[in-house]
Amino acid sequence: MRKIFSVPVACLAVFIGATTTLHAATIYVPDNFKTINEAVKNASPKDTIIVNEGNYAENIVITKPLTIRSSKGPDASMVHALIKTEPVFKVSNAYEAAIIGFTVSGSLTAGIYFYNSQNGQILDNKIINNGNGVLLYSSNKNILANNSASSNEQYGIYLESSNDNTLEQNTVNSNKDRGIFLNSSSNNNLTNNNVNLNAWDGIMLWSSHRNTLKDNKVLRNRYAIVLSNSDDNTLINNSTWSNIYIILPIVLIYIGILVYLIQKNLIRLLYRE
Amino acid sequence: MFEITTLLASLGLILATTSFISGLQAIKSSGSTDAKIHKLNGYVTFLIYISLAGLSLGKKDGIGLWPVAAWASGLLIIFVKIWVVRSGKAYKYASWVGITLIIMWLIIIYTHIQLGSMSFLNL
Repeated sequence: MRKIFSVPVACLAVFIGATTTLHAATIYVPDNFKTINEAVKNASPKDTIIVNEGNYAENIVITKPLTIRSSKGPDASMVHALIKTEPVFKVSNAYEAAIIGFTVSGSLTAGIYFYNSQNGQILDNKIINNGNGVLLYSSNKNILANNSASSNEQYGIYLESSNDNTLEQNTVNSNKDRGIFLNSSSNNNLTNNNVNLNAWDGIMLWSSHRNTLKDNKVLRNRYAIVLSNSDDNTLINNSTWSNIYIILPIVLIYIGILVYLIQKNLIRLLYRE
Repeated sequence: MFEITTLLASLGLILATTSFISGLQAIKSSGSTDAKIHKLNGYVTFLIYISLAGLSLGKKDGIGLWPVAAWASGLLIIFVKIWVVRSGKAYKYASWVGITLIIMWLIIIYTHIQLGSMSFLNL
């Protein structure tokens, strides 16, 4: 009789225990904790940290699966590096970490740095005026979407030894070296990104294989898309009009001459009548 | 598909070219047809310039010194051109001011060529 009761009770206890640990909490900054760092330290895996509007000077290190998101988007929540030689956000050895909706600036190394981290998300951020915008090292299956990685000292987005990542609908403009640089990184998908006005290459693949570059706009960089020591990459429907600013004015001047001839004949015709 | 500034800058360069050719023809032949085309295109081009300046300066977060200086310099070139024509020095200087205006529009079109989803280098 005791055995009959004890098994379901034990199961119930395990179930209750499991559900309480699985239930993710939501933490608010600065309501619950004054800094993002404090919130990260006190959060449990799978928790969500919501950062309200404000300027935060911090270097945040994330080593567990957390979602950190701003409440009102990148124009309201701005994080800059407290220690300039460290990344603003560093995700280290973590699964499923997400950084969503911040303006990230002021680091000499990187705005957002993923080190040996998998299945993460970097979404809707403005990563400006850093050494590098987003840096992934030995990090796989992450999603980078709707970010603006612009005006950084070196690369907008840099991947090294990182595979199976998705880079989608990012704007990577006016970086002082390359826009997107894949170094020894394979099987990544680059779709629908705008990569313009970078000082050197728009997109560079170095020793990177089997990547797919589709529907990207790569305009007015020194070189558009450069592949070096890279095999089996697929390039579909990318716009790389390197000569648009030579061709377009010539076409417009030609149209101007035609318009003049049309106007002249039209006015002559009207005067005759 | 096109941004309004790209479209206006393109239209501006087309009309500036038309105005330049008709201006040279008007001086050469003293014909009223070319003078009419020149005046009409010049007036519309000036309006486009003002609209473009307003739109470009309005886009920025606060108005910067260099963009204002650049647009003001363009305006100065336009006024110098009008003064040259009205003071009867067109025959001597028309080609120079005309070419300066064309170069000005080339710079404008270059800075307003559309990039992906947004326009950069907005003067």
